[in-house]
Amino acid sequence: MFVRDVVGVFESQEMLTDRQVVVISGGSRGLGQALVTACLQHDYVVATCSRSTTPFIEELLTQDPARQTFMWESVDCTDYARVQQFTTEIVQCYGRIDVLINNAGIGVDGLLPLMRQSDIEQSIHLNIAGTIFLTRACSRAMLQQQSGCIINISSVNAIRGQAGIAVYSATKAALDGLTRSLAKELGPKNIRINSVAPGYFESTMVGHLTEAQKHRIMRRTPLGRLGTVDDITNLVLFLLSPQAAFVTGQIIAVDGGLTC
Amino acid sequence: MLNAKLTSQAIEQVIHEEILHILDEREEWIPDIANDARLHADLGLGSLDLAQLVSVLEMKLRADPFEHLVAITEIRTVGDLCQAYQRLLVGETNESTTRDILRAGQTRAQARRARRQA
Repeated sequence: MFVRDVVGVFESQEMLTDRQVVVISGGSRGLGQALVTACLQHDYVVATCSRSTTPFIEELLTQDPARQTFMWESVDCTDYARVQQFTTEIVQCYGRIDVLINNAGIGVDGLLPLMRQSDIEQSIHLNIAGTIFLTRACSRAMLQQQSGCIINISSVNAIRGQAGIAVYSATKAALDGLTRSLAKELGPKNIRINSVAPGYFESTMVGHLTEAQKHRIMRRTPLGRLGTVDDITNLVLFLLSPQAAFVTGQIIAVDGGLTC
Repeated sequence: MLNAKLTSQAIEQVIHEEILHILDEREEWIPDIANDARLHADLGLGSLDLAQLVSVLEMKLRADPFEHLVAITEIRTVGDLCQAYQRLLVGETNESTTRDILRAGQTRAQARRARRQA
């Protein structure tokens, strides 16, 4: 029977890992790099993507050419077909997708009346459409398993407005809406979705701020400092762990109390 | 990689098995899956169950007829589902083309309206 032959190809595929598989978009630098590192250190299998490699990615590829615990692919998340290919490849390689961390995103500063159409569209396409494309693809794998965890990296700027980043704020607020609706939609199949909204933390995205601006932010922050990458990754690791099994649909700010 | 040509009967068998699998998870037992069984009204499958089913079938059959070929909203019965995959994978259906699937859907909608007005 043809079907048995064909279906058997997929059913007999060995699960190459019994570890949880975490997909991270934009894992080549910055917070994404930190998330990849943290997940690998906690014995997760990590599949990440970005448009191009970095020395960080190249080193991981050199250490694990057989993709036993790490995979990287060049993916433009706004390319729907490529995103589908990427997730198919992950499932073919590891047999499962347990966690998706939607980290890829860009922030283009500027007053809206002066922004270029291309910058507006790029922000919307990557931060919203790209995130939704990857979430759709990964959620299909999670539906088959009837379990999963999706974490959207949002921003405190989705919670509180800030001049000069209206488009970025809009895209991050869109992710929070996605989080809430998807939590209701996929919850019955044991798939949790949460947003992590980082405040200002030491990263390239605040690298353009002057020292005076940074000090002003710290004065407004009850805990009196900028965040660190570890502050963000620690919350992400909690949310994807069994300890967060009853947490879904939440937008959790990691901002030292800035928005409280 | 899928390189074996599936028969319409084989496709139907896979779909019936996966529907039974979902029902089995709910500890509901239905002896036979008939092609005229309505997915929601008769089998109790909700939209999320259908999403799960389509996801599994995409893995098993390496095909998704709802991406471009057939609107998921037109699927009412097990037979509708089988015909969608058969049309994509075999290029023909046991009964009719997609146009006939839509016509059958319209006929059912008219019947529902008539019952409500009666």
